[in-house]
Amino acid sequence: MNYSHQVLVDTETVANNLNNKSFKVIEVDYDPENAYRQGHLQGASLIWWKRDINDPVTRDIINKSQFEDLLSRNGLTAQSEVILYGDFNNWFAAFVFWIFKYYGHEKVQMMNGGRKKWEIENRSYTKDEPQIPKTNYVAQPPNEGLRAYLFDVRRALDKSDTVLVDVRSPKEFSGEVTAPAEYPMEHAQRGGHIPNANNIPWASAVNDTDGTFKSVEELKKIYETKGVTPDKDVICYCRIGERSSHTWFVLKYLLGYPQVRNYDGSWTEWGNMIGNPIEK
Amino acid sequence: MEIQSKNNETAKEQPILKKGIFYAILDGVSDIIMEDKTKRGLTVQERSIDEKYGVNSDKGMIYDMDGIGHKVGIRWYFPKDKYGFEKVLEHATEMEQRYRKIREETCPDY
Repeated sequence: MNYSHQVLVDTETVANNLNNKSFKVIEVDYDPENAYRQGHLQGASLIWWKRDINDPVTRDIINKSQFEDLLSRNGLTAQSEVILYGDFNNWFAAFVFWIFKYYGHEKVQMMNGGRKKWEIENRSYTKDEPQIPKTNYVAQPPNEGLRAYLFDVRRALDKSDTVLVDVRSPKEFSGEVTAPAEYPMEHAQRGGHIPNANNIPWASAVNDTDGTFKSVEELKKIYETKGVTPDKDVICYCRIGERSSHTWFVLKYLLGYPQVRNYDGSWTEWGNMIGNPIEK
Repeated sequence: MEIQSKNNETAKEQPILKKGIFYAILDGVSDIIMEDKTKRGLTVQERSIDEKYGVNSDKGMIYDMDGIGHKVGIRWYFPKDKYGFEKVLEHATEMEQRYRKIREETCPDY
């Protein structure tokens, strides 16, 4: 497919390498009770977005030490070749991919299509959870060039070389809804979007049928025609930062844009802050 | 999470027999339908027998703070040949009281 980085692995390759000790397969779920616990790829361990990726008290992603502990519990070393996949169209796998890169892990890929494609192809699952010997993972200092904070976004409002990509649905972008009824914990006080943001829903980047990524040519057309070009400083956001990780992955690793950041505070931060400007 | 577009509203033309703050009772063709108003907007994922009431119900999913999905009833279909309005109202009143209690605990009106 000529993506700019070798960061995707197809389901067939994964299926043929489940016993290959060179790879560490990890499922990343938003809802493990209805995904991993119901069945997962043989040998895959679990990263649960809420429990493992978020600080238990402060609203933040895990710090370097917590990341090192997580990866040690998953039996990884800095040299491990990791394949991530997950529920919800790989959104949270993309979020974890972003965090792996944030803490400098080199060899990480995503299984194209995630659980959705694996299930469409009627591939097998197991409920057996692997016994994993703990390692002593050492991470790199965080790469802040991959992450946008509230102040970065505020500053970007006045910059013509920065483009904001709102990857939420059109109804969220317009402020008609702040979150679907299914997610009562994810509402904000105000609906709408960050001024001058471009609405390019995450799903534009994938094929409806199996959740795999579109071709480079198709992706370029989607983003470039909306002014999201490689010469810009790009900031992606959604509601809690997981769908925007998916688009961040597309722009940074499939299209090779040099400067792309994920604003993980996203709408649940922006839309709740007193005084933040909002467009509808 | 993604907005889903499936419409889960009951047919608008169904007459309302009675409504409370948290429920509505609708007059269906062959059923008296009890609707939980707090679940409005949820996408119907399945229709199956509800364990509590023993009648068909539309069910959706709500995700809690940890991201775990829980199946919840949205509306229940009580067959008219087995259930009268008073019985359905009894269930609806019980539901109403349950929600009122939660509201008093979480949002007391001082």
